[in-house]
Amino acid sequence: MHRIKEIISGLFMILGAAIMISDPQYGYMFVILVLALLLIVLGIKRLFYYFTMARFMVDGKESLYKGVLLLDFGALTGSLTDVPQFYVLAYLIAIHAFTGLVEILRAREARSQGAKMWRMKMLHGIIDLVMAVICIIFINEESIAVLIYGIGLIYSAIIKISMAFRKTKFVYIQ
Amino acid sequence: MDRDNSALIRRYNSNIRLSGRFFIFFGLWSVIRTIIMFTMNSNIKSAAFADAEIDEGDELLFSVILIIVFAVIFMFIMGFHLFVGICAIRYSRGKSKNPVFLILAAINIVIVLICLPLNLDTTYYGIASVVASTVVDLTMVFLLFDMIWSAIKVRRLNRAAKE
Amino acid sequence: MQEDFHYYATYAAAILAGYTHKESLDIAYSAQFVDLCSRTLLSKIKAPLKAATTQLQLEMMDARTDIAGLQDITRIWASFHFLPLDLYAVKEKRPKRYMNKYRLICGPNGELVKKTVDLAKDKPLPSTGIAMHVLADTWAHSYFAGTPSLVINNTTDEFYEIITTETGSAERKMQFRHNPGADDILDESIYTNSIYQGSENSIMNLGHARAGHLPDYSFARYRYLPAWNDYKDVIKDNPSDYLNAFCQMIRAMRFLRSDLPVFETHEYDYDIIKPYEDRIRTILTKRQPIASGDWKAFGQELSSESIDDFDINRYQDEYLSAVDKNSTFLGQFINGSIAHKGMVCRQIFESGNMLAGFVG
Repeated sequence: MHRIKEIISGLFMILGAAIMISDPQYGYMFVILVLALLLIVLGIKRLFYYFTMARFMVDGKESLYKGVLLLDFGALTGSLTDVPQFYVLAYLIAIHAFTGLVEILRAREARSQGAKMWRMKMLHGIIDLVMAVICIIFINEESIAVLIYGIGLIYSAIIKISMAFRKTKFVYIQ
Repeated sequence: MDRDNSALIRRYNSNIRLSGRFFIFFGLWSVIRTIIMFTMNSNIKSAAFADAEIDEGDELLFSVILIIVFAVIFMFIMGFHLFVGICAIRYSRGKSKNPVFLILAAINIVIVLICLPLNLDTTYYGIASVVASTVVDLTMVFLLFDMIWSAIKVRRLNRAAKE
Repeated sequence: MQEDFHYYATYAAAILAGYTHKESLDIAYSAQFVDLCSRTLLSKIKAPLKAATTQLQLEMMDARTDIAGLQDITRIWASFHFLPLDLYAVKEKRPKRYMNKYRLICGPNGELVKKTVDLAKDKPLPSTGIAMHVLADTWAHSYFAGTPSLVINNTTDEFYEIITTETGSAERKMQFRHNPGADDILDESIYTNSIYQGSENSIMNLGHARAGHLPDYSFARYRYLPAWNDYKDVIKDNPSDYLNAFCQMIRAMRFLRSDLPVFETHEYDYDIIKPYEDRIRTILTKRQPIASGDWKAFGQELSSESIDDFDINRYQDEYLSAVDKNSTFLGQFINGSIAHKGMVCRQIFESGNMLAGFVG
């Protein structure tokens, strides 16, 4: 199930990138739509979590209120008709920069613990960060920034899909 | 005081504290939401200008007046939410016994319920947005009701414990 | 619990139960090794990875929290460090999803503790060590579950340390910070814990992460609010719990060396520790981050022998070079850990709970 989710989300990312590169106007609308749907789904998930689990927990009502706010944020995002492209691009760049930074920090921690996977993590993090920085440099030339961002999105999607095909060790207990 | 009563008081105080905290967040969100709607929903912007029957040359002046009016309204809304929220948090921690915030909370419930039908207008917003707004308003009513109810229960339990 | 109790205190308990110095060292080594036998170590010595009894922070960083990942985490932590108290616990008006997690809450004297000790009977000494680790942790890690769960393992800022004063006892509010690199400041009740994560299955919500090292400090007495207890607080008295753990370990080990016909829960060998009770209580209540020095000195006095410091590499060469790996110390430990994990996971599965996976 997890594997299917990762592959589908990777394919969506490639689709989004292709739309953005071929027609930036539609690309931005696509991004807003995806963002709105994501927030609505997150809101509904949080509400479901509240009613099935968190309401039995100390301070569990927090989940209820957060879920409602997320839901409203998602619905609001979906109703927006006039978002300057600059804002959307800046938002996407911020997310990639943050992800890249976290990945680099985790790679450093992995390296200090002697893990072998740290090089891959570091590479992903650096690529994410470099993409974000290049987009910031070209932010006023939106077509270039969109192209760079689209390429970065395709790269991330390929990595996501290839990781989904990683073998999972199922431990069978007798 | 027995353990069950202590647990109940703790639960109700926690409800009051959470309600206070999220009442502040809801206030902040309503301000941000309104700003986003006005700046990024062209239907609303054009409707506001059309309704005001502004001449082309007066658009800038109208915008400035609109900004000032909204700024004052937002400050009032945030001030109100902050006051009620902070009072509730202080009350839940035993740092204040002043119940005036509960009266304001009750007034807010009435206002929200009265204004609820006015929000069901899908002229400028999609159905999803209207439904979500209604859910937010009803949740805020629930939050405030929870705050008031919990405060009453805490008071009763504390009084019973003293006796 | 930490090395002070799992290694040195277990050694002392084994001596008091009647084991020789060498046997007690083997048991103590095995008990401590449970905290170190990760997949990283097992792959280094080319041992079966399913014998893992712990996960390193690094392994957990990369651990997936989908259903397979959660089952993998739960299998290890619920089996070796947070043995469930009651797999058939009942709580009204809770859905199955909630109860699956609730039933994994750890506590002493559950049915699984008896099964753990019984399983180690007539097995090599490493199995005894594993059983002692698991038994001891049921006392230290009570009220937390060995599965990532916000609704079970979360805590609030209502955390008060109970400290002894001249006039009796008083409560001092604890402060928590999220700086893993910083030491806990014991004198000011400032401790490190994991950062709040609102996601139910986040690794930050595994076990007692939200309470930091507090359950592992033998001196700590504190009152706090567990997420699952309907706003009722609990008082955790570590000195008393650790003393019970120590006396129960003696009892269990006496059974394992056939000094007693049966091991039952809720029974402790207080009489055996009577001559040393003050000394033990002093060690347990001394305000220090780790009591290895004190326990080591006590153990050496009991046996009149020198206790080697714990060395993680001690038996690795023996295992790597052996033809018959099952006859080596680590081979026996690996067999014991697989058997114990299988037993616990089977019990969880048979109770209708899939959090530890499917057991054939």
